[in-house]
Amino acid sequence: MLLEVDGVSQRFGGVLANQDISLTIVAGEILGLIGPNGAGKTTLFNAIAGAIKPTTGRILFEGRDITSLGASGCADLGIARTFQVVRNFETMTVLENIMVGAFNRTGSTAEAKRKALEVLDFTGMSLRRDTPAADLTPPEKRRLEVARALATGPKLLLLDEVMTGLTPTEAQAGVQLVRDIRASGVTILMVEHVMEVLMPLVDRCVVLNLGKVLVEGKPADIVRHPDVVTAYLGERYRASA
Amino acid sequence: MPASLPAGLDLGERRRRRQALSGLVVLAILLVLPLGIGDVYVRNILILTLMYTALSQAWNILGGYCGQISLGHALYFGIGAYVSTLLFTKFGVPPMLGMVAAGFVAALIALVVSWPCFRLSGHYYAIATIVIAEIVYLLFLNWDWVGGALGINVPFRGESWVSFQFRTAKLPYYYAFLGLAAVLWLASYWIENSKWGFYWRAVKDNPIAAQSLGVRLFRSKMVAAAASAFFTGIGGSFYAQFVAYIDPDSMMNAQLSILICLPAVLGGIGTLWGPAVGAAVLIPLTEVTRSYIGGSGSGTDLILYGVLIMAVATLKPEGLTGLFRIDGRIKPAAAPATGPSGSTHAA
Repeated sequence: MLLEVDGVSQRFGGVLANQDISLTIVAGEILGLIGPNGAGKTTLFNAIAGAIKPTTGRILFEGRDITSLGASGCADLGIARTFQVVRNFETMTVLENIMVGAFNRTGSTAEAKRKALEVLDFTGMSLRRDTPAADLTPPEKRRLEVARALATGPKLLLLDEVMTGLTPTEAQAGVQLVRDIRASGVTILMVEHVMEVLMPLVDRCVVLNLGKVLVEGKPADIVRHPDVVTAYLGERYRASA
Repeated sequence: MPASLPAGLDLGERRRRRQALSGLVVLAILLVLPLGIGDVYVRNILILTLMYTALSQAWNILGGYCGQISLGHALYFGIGAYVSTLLFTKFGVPPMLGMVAAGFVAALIALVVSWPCFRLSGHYYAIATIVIAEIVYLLFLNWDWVGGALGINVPFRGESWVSFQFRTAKLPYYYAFLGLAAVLWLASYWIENSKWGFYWRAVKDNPIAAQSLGVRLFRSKMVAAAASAFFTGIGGSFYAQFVAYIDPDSMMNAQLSILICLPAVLGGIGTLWGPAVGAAVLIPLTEVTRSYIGGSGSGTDLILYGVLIMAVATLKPEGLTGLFRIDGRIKPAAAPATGPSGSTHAA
């Protein structure tokens, strides 16, 4: 077991964004985390990435408690992430962006550059090597975030709505990239709002609703689960189905 | 799109070649320049220009690369001046040794000051640096052991590099400040291609993303502050030897803090050549207006700063180096790739 979320709750003032959530991620799998707007996906995601500390509960990575380790500590251990709203280093080139990630594993500039070029090639962004991040197209910006995260040499990659806003062709390329990343031995947790993109890709799915785990299981079972249908489409649809 | 690498050097490598080449050319020119200029007044302007180049480069480490705008660098400058001078006058330590101590004390003070200040960010950090510099200025003004408001005269112990004193000719000071500026240029050149340089720029561009890649924000800023203050302190002790008299008003006043950061702002924040270009424009202009307009027109140099900053802010926000393409840094705003800033794509 790579990651274990154990009874995590997160309170923001009067709002209970996550309520006693427990789940596990097995090494080598792609786990999908879905749910309607406001289900608490991003909150849970941020807690796993170390960006926020849960109010209660524990998060274990490879058996080690990382609950209060912080974002950079989690990165050192091998948890890399992307952001829902793209956060690149805008004044730096694509290569330089990726090098920042690569420096997490080395102090040598030559070594960081070698690693970054490798990732650049792997993510198919070589032609954009010298382009400032600010000048990339939106799908390229998302791809750069993934590349940067990969350069840190992660064991677990957290992808936060990386397919959002992509055209079907771009999404297809994105799906292929995620498959390639998994094939390279990286475990993946994907948060996605759009179910169609996620379902064919993931091995397992956790559905959140109103801050709690609604159901968990194989994609095929999830889409037919009555609670999921209700959460996404409302009572009326369920009644007529 | 074929996923093959574009041939040749990448943007960073090409930039570094241009920088190294231009550095050698400029150094060669500066080495022979004073030999052709005998005029003391002009040499004095050259020395001051080199000093502010060095100081602004030191400021640029923290304010430019790391993006933490300090408006209190006169504090580290003054500390440097006082440490080497006090070591010299009270304990007989030669200034050549004293300036190393000055650098380390300034760096230590920077760490102490930054510890609480880096809990603040953006404008709040800048304001805190002004306030702390002002407090220390007032402390020194009222502290008799360090000479108080009267200051300290640096006693003359004969011309030598060890005591770093030259009365008859100013030329050794010229080369001393050229050396300091060159060391800082080299340090900046090294920083730009080092892990710290990448981390600092990442912290400046997007701290949250930097953190997600394992960058420790607080530690990175502290290292930048210490390095910046170290060199500023050494600059302060150089200047103390140069003018041979120090007091809080000339070594720690708020205007000095502004003068330390202005060349970088004018020339290009976070660029290798920005501080030098900015100082080369600003300092001669200031000195000339000050001496020619003089008494009745005092403050004209300040008006000039204002005009220059407004002009740069509106016409060339990335600084004067944007005109030359030496640095080839990318504009912060989402500008078109073929814009006038000189950001280039791989062919």
